[in-house]
Amino acid sequence: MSAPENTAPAGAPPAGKPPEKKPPAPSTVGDILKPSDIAVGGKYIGWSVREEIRKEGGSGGLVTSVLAGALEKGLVKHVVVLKKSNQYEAVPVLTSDVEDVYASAGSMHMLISNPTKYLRQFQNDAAIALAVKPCDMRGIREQQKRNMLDLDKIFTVGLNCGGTMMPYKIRKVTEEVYGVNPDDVRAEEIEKGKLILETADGEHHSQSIDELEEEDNGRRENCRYCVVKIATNSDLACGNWGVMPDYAGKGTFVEVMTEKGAEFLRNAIEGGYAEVKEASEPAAEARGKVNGIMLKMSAKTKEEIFVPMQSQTILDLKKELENCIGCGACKTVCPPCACGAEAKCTSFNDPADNYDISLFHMIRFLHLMDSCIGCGQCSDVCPAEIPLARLYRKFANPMQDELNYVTGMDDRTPPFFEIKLEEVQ
Amino acid sequence: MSDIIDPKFKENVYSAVCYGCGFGCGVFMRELEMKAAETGAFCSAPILNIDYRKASPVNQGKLCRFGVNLAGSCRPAVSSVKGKAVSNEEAVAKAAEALKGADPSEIAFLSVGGTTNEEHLALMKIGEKLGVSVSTGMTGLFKDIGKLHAYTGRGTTYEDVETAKKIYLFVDPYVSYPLLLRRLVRAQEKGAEIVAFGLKDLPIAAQNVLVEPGTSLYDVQAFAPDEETVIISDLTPYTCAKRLAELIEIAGGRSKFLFMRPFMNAAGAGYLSKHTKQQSFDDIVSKMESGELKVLICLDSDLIDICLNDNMKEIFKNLENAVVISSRDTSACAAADIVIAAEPVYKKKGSVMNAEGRLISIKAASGDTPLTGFNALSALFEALGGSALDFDAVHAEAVQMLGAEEDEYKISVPAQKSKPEIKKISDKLPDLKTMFGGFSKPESFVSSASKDGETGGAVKHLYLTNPFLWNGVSDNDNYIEISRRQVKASALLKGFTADVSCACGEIVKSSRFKVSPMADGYALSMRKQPFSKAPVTDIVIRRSPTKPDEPEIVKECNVPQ
Repeated sequence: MSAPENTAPAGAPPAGKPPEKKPPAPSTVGDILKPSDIAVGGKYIGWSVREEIRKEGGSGGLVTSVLAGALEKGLVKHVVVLKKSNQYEAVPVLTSDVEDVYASAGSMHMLISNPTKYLRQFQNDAAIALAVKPCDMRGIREQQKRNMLDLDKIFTVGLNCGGTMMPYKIRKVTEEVYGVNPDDVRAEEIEKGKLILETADGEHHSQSIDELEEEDNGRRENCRYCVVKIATNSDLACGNWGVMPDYAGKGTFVEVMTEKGAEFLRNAIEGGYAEVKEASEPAAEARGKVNGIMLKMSAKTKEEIFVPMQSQTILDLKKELENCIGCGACKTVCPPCACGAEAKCTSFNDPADNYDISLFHMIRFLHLMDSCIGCGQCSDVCPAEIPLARLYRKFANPMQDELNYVTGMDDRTPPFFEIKLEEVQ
Repeated sequence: MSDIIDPKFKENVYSAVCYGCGFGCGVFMRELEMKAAETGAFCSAPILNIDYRKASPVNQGKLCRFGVNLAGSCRPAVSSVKGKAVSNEEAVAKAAEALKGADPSEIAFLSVGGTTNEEHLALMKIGEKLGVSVSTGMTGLFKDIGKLHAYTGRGTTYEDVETAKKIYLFVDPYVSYPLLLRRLVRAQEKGAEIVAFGLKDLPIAAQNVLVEPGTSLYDVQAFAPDEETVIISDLTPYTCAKRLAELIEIAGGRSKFLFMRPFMNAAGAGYLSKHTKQQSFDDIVSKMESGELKVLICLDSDLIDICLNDNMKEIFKNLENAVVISSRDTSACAAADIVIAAEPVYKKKGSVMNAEGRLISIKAASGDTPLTGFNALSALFEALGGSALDFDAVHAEAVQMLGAEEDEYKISVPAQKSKPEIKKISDKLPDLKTMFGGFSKPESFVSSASKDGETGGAVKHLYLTNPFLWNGVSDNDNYIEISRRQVKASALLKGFTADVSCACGEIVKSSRFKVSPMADGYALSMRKQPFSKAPVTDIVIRRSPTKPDEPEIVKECNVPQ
């Protein structure tokens, strides 16, 4: 019997020895940082000093600790927490009690609140801290541009977001696709393209998000083409992207975006709520890589949805809107909409009119061209199932792309505000 | 951030059900209380806002125009006796006094389903103590259709609508029960054939079949229901018994029925009061008119707004004691001798049953539920010799009586005896043509803009009674809908309003109108109009006189071709 031929490729380690696995890069470099080490632009890995918060809070509980520290040390008077009634339902509630902040810890992809409109009711009379998704923060910034919210009084911890899911739909999917009793679910997480549900017995149940989305059971449509995944528009941009295996589940990657963000992070360290280390270069790269992959997927979905829409005519638009019952919910929930009850879209519109497309919609299409943040709140609440976010984006995409204007990401003046009447004349 | 005023906000959030109709839409209601800077006390009126309950199995966070503006319609009632504000205890004591002083035959209780099952059942217990049944306003209709009543029960869900192959619509979902629309859109996407029967063309329908109020369904060829058909209609105090009987006679036993309900808990109240001997709406009103009735107790039921009798406010005066237990300020509160104010509906604790038969809890997501209404009913029960009612016990009893599961994600229908054989009774009910066919010419009509003949704009006005929700609520939905040809017949012009006169000779000036794809000879309104004196009223429509200060709006009517 002849010896088998060595088929190993050139450069491969000698047969009999397993290939050396390159150890994963560490998440951090150096020691635990002092408050004075924190600076705008700094990227860190942080965690809560309290063990129970590290356990309960997502990714080491840094966000919870920063918010708790801000409240207890008087940087803010209130924190907005999500009060959970079950795994699929929670409401934002204002609290001044730090225990509520600790109790609200945890990640929830199924709970779509609307912090922008929520904050409006306080009329800038309170110093408030809250955790936000990138689109939430985009709405807050658009309101600020329209003088409706004062960012000096709002502290935001931005959370990475790969997308959110409609709670009722996911409840159904849990039962019908996962074969799990929805009431048994205790936690959920999105990891490596899978939606993982943890049941009371500690079991993990996972499904590919791609497969769920093929049946329209995954993320909301607007999330699938969203162009902002890391909330770099908030004071602190946090999340688990970039956290290497040594800190997986135990640490949060945080990038300090503003001086206010630095102040709040320093406060959390100084007050003994959190600890941070500098993020390693590979950790920062890994974060960027995940973001890049997510954005590439979004760009693909955007093309799939909007390129076919280019050939739509006014008749198609009329058809899409024919079931509108005039509830006005799309305007009410719209985060960038700063108008009150006497808005142009409502004032110029009369339900007794006979226009083919109501002036309400026409005005909103125009208004949202330079302000739509693509959050999808309008589609969520439409009782006639009109794909409103898609329609608003149809008009907003060309304008915002042309002007390279990403709404709600910075203080740039909205394009329509820059138009000078005398120049037009 | 140190110089910021801290007004000490306190926020309560309630997981409630919209009280606009019986669809059962879940909604979060937020109460934001603020402490006044000077006194440190919380301001009495909290800021109300709604939030969208996206986990609701009924509406998944979506709401109609009424629901979106729900916070604006929550004007709290104030306890009073003869118009003077009093404490709840005093109002309850006066109500007890009134009940003790009257014979059971002189008392009527009305609860159409405007509040929780627990409060309805508490009222039923008070009624039992006195030997008076609680009426839900539906007895007249159910009495007329006899055993066919068995076919109006629960069992068809909104999800059944989504998966139906054929849907026959007898309601206009753009006006009534609007959250039906998304179910129909889903059904349409899945290939369902939607046929609308009525006076107006609906965009959602593949086929619109003209069925006039006087038309018998036996004469409508397109009405051919089979095993795969879901028929959607509604049950209100004004539902035509003959039409309902025909519907069941033709389709019963084969097709599925989904009967919508006009009031938040109309289904729950109906099932709880199922085996009681009730008085009909008409009985109650005629006894009020004759003075036979001395005490009327209305539990979250605004008889003045519901009734199509424009003299109701006057008729209320015939009562010795009109007692209104109400969670909001209504027309009935203004006319009542005794008002017992309950907490707002959203703030209640308890359950309601929607049109599908789904039992939905109302509870606080954050904050307290004061149980003011239930406690007032308990106090009334005690004052009449009963012992204090325990909320949990009443709740458990209600759930058991309803045969429902306490899980809003599940609908359980109690095992039923087999349905009775369908025997034709519609031919014994008053003829539809006689009821709705003729036209009573208005006695007089005066309009300076009138150029046509006296009856050129004569139409039948149909008040789509099921949007009872809009009664007393400000909105710009106050208009009549008429066909394009009717606009011409009435010489109406765009920018002008219409003057409407009814058979009694009364003229309602400056009514707004909308041109709709609908049958000629009719006018529809979702709002109760001053001329809505019956489900179908004869009216004449004319152009309102030109306003001298607005000559520029005189132009040809811009109507769709």
